[in-house]
Amino acid sequence: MKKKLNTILLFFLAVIFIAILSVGYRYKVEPLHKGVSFVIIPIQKSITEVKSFINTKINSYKEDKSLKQTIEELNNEITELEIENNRLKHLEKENSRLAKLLETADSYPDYNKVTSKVIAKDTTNWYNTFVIDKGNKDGVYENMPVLASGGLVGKVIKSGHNYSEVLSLIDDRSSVSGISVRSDALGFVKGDYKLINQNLVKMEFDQNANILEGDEIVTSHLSEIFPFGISIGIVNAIESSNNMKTATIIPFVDFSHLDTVLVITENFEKDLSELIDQEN
Amino acid sequence: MRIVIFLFIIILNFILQTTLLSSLALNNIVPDTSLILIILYARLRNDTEGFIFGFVTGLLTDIFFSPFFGFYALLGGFIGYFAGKPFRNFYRSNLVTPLLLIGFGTFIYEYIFYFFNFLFRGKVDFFSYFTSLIFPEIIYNLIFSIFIYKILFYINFKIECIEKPKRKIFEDIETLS
Repeated sequence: MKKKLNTILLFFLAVIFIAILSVGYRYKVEPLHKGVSFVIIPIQKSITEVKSFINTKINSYKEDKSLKQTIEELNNEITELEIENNRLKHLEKENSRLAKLLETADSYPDYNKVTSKVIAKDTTNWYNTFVIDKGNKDGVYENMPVLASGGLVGKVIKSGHNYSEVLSLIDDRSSVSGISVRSDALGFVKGDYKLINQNLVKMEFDQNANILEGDEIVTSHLSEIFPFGISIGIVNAIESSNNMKTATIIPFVDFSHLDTVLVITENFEKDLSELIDQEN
Repeated sequence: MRIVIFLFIIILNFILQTTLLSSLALNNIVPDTSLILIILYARLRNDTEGFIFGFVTGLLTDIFFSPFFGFYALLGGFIGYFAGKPFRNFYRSNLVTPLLLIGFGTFIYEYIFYFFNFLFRGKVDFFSYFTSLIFPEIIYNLIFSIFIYKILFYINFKIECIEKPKRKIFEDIETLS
């Protein structure tokens, strides 16, 4: 009798599961997300803060020795950069003067950014996503680009009230349209599980694409989510097979030591199929 | 009582797993402590409770990380249910059957994950995923589960002493004598 009851119970649970799966696929279960995240996010935040505090203490102890040398190097770098900066200022002036002539002055606007901390990591080994401590209340929504000091980190794939989940560039599911700065060769920057350990991503090009080692890759104008010109990485090695070229790329961002990221709180989503329709 | 304590353990495990566990990573592989907890709990109690434990643990993961909502809950429930089924008349304090099931369960769990999230996207090279991810994780899980089993066994024992046990603690011994 009890066994029969158990089977009936299990059957009902299975039905409920399928319902949850199909509802969850379409809608977010708002009260559940909200309630749980209010409890867990603050704790995760504080634990991560303690962890990073300890880490910085350990690191600062290690770094003390080499500090003097670094200061000297940095001073040299500053003078170099100042010279460079002056030159660039001059160029910028010239550029804005020319841009006014061409009436394209606002093609590189300053984006609104939100700084946020990485507070939790994905539980599986398969993927590489993380949770940041900014959500809808700070204006972070799905499909917004996420940057770190060096370049592109990824995009927001899920956003709650006070947290959001970020899919990083090296995750196996990630795919970003990229372009080489030097030669305008277009390709797709794809995360690959087999390259996660080395912090690399791969990029697929056309067979005849003009691509060399050391080329800088940025997001392309064909991307549906990202604005044009965010730097992604540098080409490391190129492999050609019979109908495509595959390059491995070293991203500018160090994904294994990521603790602060910038989210551009603007939505760049565009429907490219519409553009194609217009052209036809 | 039992529900409150184990809900607390589930939440604590989730928080620690997402924040601190990544610093124990070897070659980017971390042990899946929630999977270990599901299997061990199912070993200590029975299949139905293992099912519920796995479902709740998975649901919590679903809320924060997910390919789509409900996947981890379903997978956790499945693993909990089938980890509670076999070898019911072995000593619970014996480590052999839990370790056996952890090794086997990790393989099944990761295989299902691979099947739905990687094979469906055309990543067919299972062997390389096995050597680079699944096998190291099985080893890591086994090492971790020894410690977790000791703790979980102790907590469960205390709770069973408090609540008047439906399932007798020493039923194994009674059936033998």
